[in-house]
Amino acid sequence: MPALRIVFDRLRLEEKELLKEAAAAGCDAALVDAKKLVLGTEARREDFDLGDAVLERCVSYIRGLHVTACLEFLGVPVVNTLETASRCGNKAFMSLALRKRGVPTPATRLAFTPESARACLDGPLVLKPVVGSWGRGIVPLRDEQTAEAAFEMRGVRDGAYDRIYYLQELVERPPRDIRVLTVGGSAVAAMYRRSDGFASNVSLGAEPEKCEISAELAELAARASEAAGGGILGVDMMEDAGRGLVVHEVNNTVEFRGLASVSGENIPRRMVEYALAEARR
Amino acid sequence: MNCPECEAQLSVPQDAQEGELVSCPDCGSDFEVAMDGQALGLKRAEKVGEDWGE
Repeated sequence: MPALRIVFDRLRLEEKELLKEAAAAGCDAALVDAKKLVLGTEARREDFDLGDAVLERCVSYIRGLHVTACLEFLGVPVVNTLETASRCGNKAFMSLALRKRGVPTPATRLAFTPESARACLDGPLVLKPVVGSWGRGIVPLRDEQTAEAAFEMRGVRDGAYDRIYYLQELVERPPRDIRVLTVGGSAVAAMYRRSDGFASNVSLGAEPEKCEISAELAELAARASEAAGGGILGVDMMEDAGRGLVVHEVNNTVEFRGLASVSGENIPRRMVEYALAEARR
Repeated sequence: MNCPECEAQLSVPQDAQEGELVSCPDCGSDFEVAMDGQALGLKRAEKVGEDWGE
C-alpha cells in the first residue's frame, strides 16, 4: 500500500480533504505537523515516518521551504520540489522565470531603495511585497502621494523584504482575474475571481465563478507551470485589454476551497494521485 | 473545555484533529488543538506571518 504524508503547520479544510481522498484512494495516509519535526544534516530517513512521498502544505512559505530542503536531503519525494517552492514563493523570482520562458507577464521592475523606486514612477504601477499572499500589502500607485506613503511605510517596517521594491505595471483588465489549478502541467480546474476591489483573492471576499478551460488557457497554464518548475500549482492570470491573457503569479501550496466549490472537480484526488505517481518515478 | 485566555466555554468537536484551530467566541483568541497524552488540549495558535499564504 503506498504511503503518503501531508506535512502541514496549520490544519485547514484543504489538508483534511487531502487526507480523506488519500485514504479513499487506498493510501496509507497521515498528517505530519511540521512544527514538531526536527530535521537536519544528521537526520536519517528511517528515523521518521515520511511515507513514500510528501505533500508539503505549510501555510508559512519560509517554514515549508526549509522543511522541503530537509526532506529532499533525506531522499523523500516532495510535492512541490524545493526549486518550485522557492521560485513560486517569491514574486520577483517568479516574474523573472516567466519572462525568461517567454510567458506573457506584466512588466515588472525591481528597485532596492526608496530613491531608486521613486525613479520608476513613470505611470500607474502596483507595489507588491515579494513574499506574502492573500493580496496583503499590495498597493496600486496611481499618484506620487500614494507612492510616497507606501514607501514611507516600507521604511518604518524596514524588514529584509521591505527593501525590495517590486513594481509592476497596472494592467487594464475587467474586475476579475483567473485562477487555474495545474497538476503536472495539466489544467485541472479554473475559476474567475470577481471583485470590485483591487485584489481578486477569494480570501479577501472575491466571488469565485467557474471558468471553462480553453485551449489557450490550458496552453498558457502549462507554460507557466513549466517556468515554475512543475508540480501542483495555482496559476493566476489577468485579461489584459491589449495583449490577452497574462500570467501575474504562480502559487505553490495552492488553496482549492473556492475552486472546488465551482469547478465540480475532485481536486484533492488529483493532487494525491499526482504525488503518488511522483513517488513511483 | 474553557478558553485559556478568558475562560469562556469553548466548543471543541469530539472528532477534532491535532493541529485544528478553535476560536473563542467571546475574546476571539485562536487556539490549536493539541494532544496532551490521550486527552485533547489547547495551545495558543501562531499569529499570521508575513510569509503566510499559498
